[in-house]
Amino acid sequence: MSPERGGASASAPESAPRVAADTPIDRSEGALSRNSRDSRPRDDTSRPFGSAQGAATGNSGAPGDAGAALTAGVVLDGVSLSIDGISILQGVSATLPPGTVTGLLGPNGAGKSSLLRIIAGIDRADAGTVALDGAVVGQLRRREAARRIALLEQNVAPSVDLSVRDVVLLGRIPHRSRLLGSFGGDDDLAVATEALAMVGAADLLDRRWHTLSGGQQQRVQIARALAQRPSLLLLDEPTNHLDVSAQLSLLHQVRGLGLTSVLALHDLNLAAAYCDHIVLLQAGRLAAFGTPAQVLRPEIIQAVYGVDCDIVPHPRTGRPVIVFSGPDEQPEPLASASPGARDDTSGPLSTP
Amino acid sequence: MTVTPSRQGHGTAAPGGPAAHGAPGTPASSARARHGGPGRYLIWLLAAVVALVLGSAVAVTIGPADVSLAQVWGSVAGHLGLPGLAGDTPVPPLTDAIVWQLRMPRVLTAAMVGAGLALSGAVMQSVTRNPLADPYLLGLSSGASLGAVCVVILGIGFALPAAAFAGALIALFATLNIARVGGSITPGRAVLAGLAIAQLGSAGTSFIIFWAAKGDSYREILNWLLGSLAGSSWSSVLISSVALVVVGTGILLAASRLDAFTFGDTNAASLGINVNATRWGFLVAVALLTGAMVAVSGAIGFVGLILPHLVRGLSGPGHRRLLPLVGVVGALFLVLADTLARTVFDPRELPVGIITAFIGVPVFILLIKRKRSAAWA
Repeated sequence: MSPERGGASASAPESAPRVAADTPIDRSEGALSRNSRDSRPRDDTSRPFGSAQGAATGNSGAPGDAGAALTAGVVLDGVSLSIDGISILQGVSATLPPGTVTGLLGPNGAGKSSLLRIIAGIDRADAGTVALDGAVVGQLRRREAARRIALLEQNVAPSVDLSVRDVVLLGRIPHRSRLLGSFGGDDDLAVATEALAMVGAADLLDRRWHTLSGGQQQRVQIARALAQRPSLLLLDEPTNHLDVSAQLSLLHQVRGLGLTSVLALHDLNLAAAYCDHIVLLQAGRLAAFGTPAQVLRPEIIQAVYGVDCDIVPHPRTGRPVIVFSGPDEQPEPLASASPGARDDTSGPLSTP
Repeated sequence: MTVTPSRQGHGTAAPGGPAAHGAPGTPASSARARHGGPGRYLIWLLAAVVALVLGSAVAVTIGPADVSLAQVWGSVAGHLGLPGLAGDTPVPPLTDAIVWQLRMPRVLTAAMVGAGLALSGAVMQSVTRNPLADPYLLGLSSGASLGAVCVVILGIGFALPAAAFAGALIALFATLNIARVGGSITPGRAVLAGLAIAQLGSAGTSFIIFWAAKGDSYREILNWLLGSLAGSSWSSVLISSVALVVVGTGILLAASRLDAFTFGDTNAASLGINVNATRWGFLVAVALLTGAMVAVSGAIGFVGLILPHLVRGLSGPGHRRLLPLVGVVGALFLVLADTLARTVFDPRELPVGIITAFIGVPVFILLIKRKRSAAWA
């Protein structure tokens, strides 16, 4: 993976240093500007950004040559969207290397679901493009996009009673022929069974959907997505309504797939624990992009979420853990915790 | 993506089948056997077809004049130009006329209308994700009746199917637009909106018939509002069968796309479906089908509502299996219901919609009691 690509569109700290009017975060590596497309390669080569990703994730799937790195993975370039004159997304740019898991964070209404739908090719951006492995998603035919990208929305319920097998087989629809697609498809069941096995749910094949637990339903949905044979997996709040054990095992499973994945998440600590990169949105703009250690910092979280917090290293993994403080919990000055957290995190956070 | 055995190392053995364990080429034969394996489904389909053919033949023999199955066969074979197959028994001319001019068209029309309405209901339930969707409940049938009555009164009967189609389409638009007021279309809201449109259509139909009243207008109103196959002729068979074959074939070819709506619009879109175009395509097809059926039979209720629910239990939810079976079962159902309608209170004849309501309403109540998922709110 080349350092240039890792940060090419994603970091331009000098050009527009402020995310929120009241909170300066211009020194942070991850701070991103609304004008991020203006970033210059000169800036990027001086940053440890790309190499940091490699070090932090141990990702071995990155292409060796810069030419391939140019096109592989997901490249968001100035994605903007407005609906009825209201701006939903503005100039979001980021590069997500293949095989990595990216957490999409932000307060409610920040545009996470909208961005996922645009990446999936379901909605079209007003401006900007999304490219997957060099192909512009918005120019793909719907069916072709569905063969490459699978999206799981949150909290879905079927309209009829159906079995797990029926659910997973839905993922084969994009692969059926257009006219006579209602017939044939003998290999579909083999693909479906295999997809269920990949999420450790092969024993659920004959169960009825409504008898499954929430975690099992999510796994089956992921198996449905895998049956599409995608190269990009998009999950919209997959851990919603799951108990903590189901949350952890689900995200562990997603990581284990080795697919390029983008997960909209609400839980910052889950994102810190399971994601290689974080895309942090605020009111439709990219507030920060980088490794969890780079993005999940007290001043950035304060700026985006308006919440005080301290970052401590996870006692076992060393990954950042965010400890929030409510309005009444202010005995310790914030400054005392942050520097320590930075020293302890595994990511190379040293500023130039 | 590579084929990867479960990374968890447990839970990979499907009950009784080795297929799940990282053997991608192996068909999961044991898994297919349950719920609607192809074998069991084909048996159901075959049984339904046989029952439909036999039921129709028997239905032709039933009525005030005694007709035997052999005479039915003789008459049909004679008219189809197959005298060699007609057997030895000569069919008396009167019996032949009863079979060929009265009962055959009626039974065939019943079969076509039953199949068309059941298909319409199944498709509507899927594209609107509303288990209560049905051309009758959502007002399409009444709209089609109103359209049909308008051209009948104006004396341009040849435009009957087109007018019924237009009426069904307008009613569909009106129902969905009323249901959309104030937020998303929930199943309950759609049914309420459909109720309003259905009442409006019925009132309009009654008004027009009264306004142009001559002779027995009450009976005519009842036939349009409740549905009746008493006026069936060979032209009814032609209209309903052409609509069924043309629209039905299109729907069957696209059946796989209906599956994509199971988990909602976003899910369908992520499966490569153009959601709006597909939904409206199906809804217009349903309006066409309903319009043609109402043009020959009036507004027959509950066929499209209850049969898809019953047949899903046999075929599973996949539309590639559901739609052919629901069509055949719908045809059988309406042939039997119409036979009841014209014989139970013989010599009085009931509009067939009364029979379908007597059967359909209890089933409808059972459906409401049984399914209390969030989707019904």
